Amino acid sequence: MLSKSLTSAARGTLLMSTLARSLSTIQTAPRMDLVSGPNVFASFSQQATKHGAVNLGQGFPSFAPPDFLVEAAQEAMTTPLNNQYTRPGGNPQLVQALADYYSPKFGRNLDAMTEIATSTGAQEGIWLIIMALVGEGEEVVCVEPYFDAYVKAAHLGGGTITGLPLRSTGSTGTSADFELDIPELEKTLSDKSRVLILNTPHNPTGKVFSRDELQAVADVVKKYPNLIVVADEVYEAAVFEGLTHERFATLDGMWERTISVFSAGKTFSCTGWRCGYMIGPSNLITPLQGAQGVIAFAGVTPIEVAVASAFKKAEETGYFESYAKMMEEKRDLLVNGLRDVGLEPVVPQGGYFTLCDTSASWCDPPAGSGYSSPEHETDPLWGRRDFRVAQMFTEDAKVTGIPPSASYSPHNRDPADNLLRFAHCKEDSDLTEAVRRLKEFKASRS
Amino acid sequence: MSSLSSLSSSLSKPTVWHEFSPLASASGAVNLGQGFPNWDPPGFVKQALKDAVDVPGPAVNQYCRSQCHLPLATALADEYKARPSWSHLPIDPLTNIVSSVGCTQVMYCAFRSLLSPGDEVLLLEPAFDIYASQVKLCGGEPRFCSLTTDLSAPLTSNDVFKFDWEKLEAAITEKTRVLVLNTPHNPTGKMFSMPELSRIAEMVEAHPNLLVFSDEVYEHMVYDDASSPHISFATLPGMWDRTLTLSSAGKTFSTTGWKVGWGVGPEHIIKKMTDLQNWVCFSAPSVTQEAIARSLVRARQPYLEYSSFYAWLADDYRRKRAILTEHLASVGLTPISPQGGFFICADSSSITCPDSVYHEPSLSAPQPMPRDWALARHLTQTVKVAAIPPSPFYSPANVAEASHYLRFAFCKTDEELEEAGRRLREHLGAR
Repeated sequence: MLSKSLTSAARGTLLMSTLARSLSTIQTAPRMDLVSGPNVFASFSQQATKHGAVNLGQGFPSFAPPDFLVEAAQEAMTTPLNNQYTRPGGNPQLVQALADYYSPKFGRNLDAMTEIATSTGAQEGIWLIIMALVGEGEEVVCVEPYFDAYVKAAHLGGGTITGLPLRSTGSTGTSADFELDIPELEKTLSDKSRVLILNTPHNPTGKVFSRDELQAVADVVKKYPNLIVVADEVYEAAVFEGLTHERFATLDGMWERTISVFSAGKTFSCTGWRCGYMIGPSNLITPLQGAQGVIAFAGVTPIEVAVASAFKKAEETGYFESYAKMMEEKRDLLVNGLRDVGLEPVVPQGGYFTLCDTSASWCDPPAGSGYSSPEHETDPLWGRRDFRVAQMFTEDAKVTGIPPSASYSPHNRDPADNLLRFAHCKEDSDLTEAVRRLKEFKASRS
Repeated sequence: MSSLSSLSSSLSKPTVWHEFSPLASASGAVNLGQGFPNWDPPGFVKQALKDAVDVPGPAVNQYCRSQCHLPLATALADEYKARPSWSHLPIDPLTNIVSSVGCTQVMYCAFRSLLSPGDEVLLLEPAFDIYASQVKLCGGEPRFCSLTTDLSAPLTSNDVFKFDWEKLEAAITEKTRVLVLNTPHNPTGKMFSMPELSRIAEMVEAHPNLLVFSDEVYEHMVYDDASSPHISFATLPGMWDRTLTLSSAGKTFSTTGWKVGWGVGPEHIIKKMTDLQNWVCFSAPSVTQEAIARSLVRARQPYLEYSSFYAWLADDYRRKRAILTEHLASVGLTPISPQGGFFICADSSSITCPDSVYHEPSLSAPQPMPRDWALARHLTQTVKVAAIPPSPFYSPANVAEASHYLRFAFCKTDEELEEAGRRLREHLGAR
């Protein structure tokens, strides 16, 4: 024990420096090393700011949420109880508004209290689902490229991840080229598979799965009565070309095993508000309500109340139609611009993002050049070509995109080498400026 | 399906909050149960949120910095550094502060990132029920050590509720990874004194693997600065490196529904929590973080005739404490006056509960229904004043320790408190 002849301050200092040395290797929960690296979205957002780049990286709009949503929030907080705890599992006004909106879309009379759960962001919804459903050693099958939150959550939960690649036939130059191989799905699924994660519209390809495609998946899934399907539909509001957003849960026999995940943040351009929700059968949804009750207690009340009001206002004002049209126009603006520059786009059928081909020689980071982000030394992912291209674009072209190799399982990453993901959910001025800067950069490298 | 069925059935089990909030509502009871105020947040706080959603640029409405929205981290660093007892500590907004979805999720991220399966977490009973639930969800083992009660002492929470030092010493083993402190304490209102915290610090020094999470959400509800000041464990010599200090906006600014909580601590703790939080929720809500950042700055300035909003808040709650204390005493619900927080634990020994209540169906009560649970249901439904039974704050083995207490909240308008007093006297009779 420390000598009592030292003053307490001196003792404190001595102890602090002793402990600081030992606590630099602080003991953590298992598998925390898997997440000790940076979040690729946060990292590139920070770098965009640092380098003054146009940020077409992380999936958030650079335009404001609709006025009626802002007004709804300002209105919501004028009722005192709307600033206090709401119901764990979902504010009653919001879950009722969601039941009203989604019942016709699901072709059923949704029970607001037991078949709908909210979360602080759809990402937290994914966390709740994995935590409640996936145990140590259980298998999560993810269509890849995937939103890496699925995989990080599953890894942390002790689950194993199996990627099921979308492969491009490359015939139309659109996201429709990306297809699932059904025999491969059949080989991949087994009695050990606990969860299958689907995502439509798909991030990052922009693919909008057709009903036939989803049915083909359902036909395989039927053979595994213990398999739960998570249908991530956060981009449902951004579907283009007159296509229909198809819901896996509405296929024959699939309601009972499917959790559909949605995001008010994406639909209403308020990603910072953190309002997501899940719809499914009560035996899958009530554990999620309970899980939210333990990890957050409840959602953000004025926000949940505002989103409830926004759904009604949106239907009255034709917001969903005008939003989809707006996003399709932005997609066109970016796609045409990228084509002009020579970054051949994979035209997305829906969603927030456009993939493009960076195989042109002017996109090659010069040999021997650094383009190492601060994380480069610790994680080989950051030394891959698409990461270095993204880094070079951020630093020199001053346009930020997200390198997609983080979205693939380690052994499937090669297709990502020549791809970069840009977000088209941005102000037109950001999109045109980004294209202008890319043209300038290309010219500088010829 | 075994993992789904066992975990999901425990997650689907309703809690005391699921039972009493709807019961209070259905009974038309004055709700002195759950700890939320029934008034508006102060004008400057509401204005801050109005402004935050309405910013000309969309920046605040989109994803913010995952670890903590930077204006909030800056405001918090300034706030803590301004406290004399903290001034010697290095508080860097970029590395020593993390925010999450209420203090609840800050605590969850701390447990989830730092507990290994089988690690023990020592909770001082009565303890806020969410701690044990979170520990179990994170694969840890909650262990419990009760505060002792001495009703022959002066009836204040600091005097009645004390530590059994031998029991506490024995409860900390080499498997104990975290000790949770909560001061001001929910439900008793006890505030841990310097001698008590110093004694705990000695135990912490003796166990190098032990971390301390100090939940200080009621830190501004303090009624006697001179004899019972709020002390942060992290400020004790040698304890900064071992301690996560947690607090939130909800209680302080009457915004329990805004879900802005934070942790302050050494970089090695904060970094692990941030690494995890990235994947739990990515970030806490940006707009409410922005509003609280502005509110923290305004709160330090003169407010009404007071030197700061915090001074006004403590005085207002002190006044309400007096109102409710008198009402409870008038019907023989002997109040143990809290030095902090906005709850009063009252001794209910002189109140009878009809037998029939014990047999009412309950979603969440232990079976057989404990006395305090039945009495709380009786008060809610028949007297139409809702209180919370303290038994959910105890481990199953120690539920009996709660049997003669009820927890009442005084974070309610004067009108509600007066109406509660009127209803208590009407049904229970003046004593």
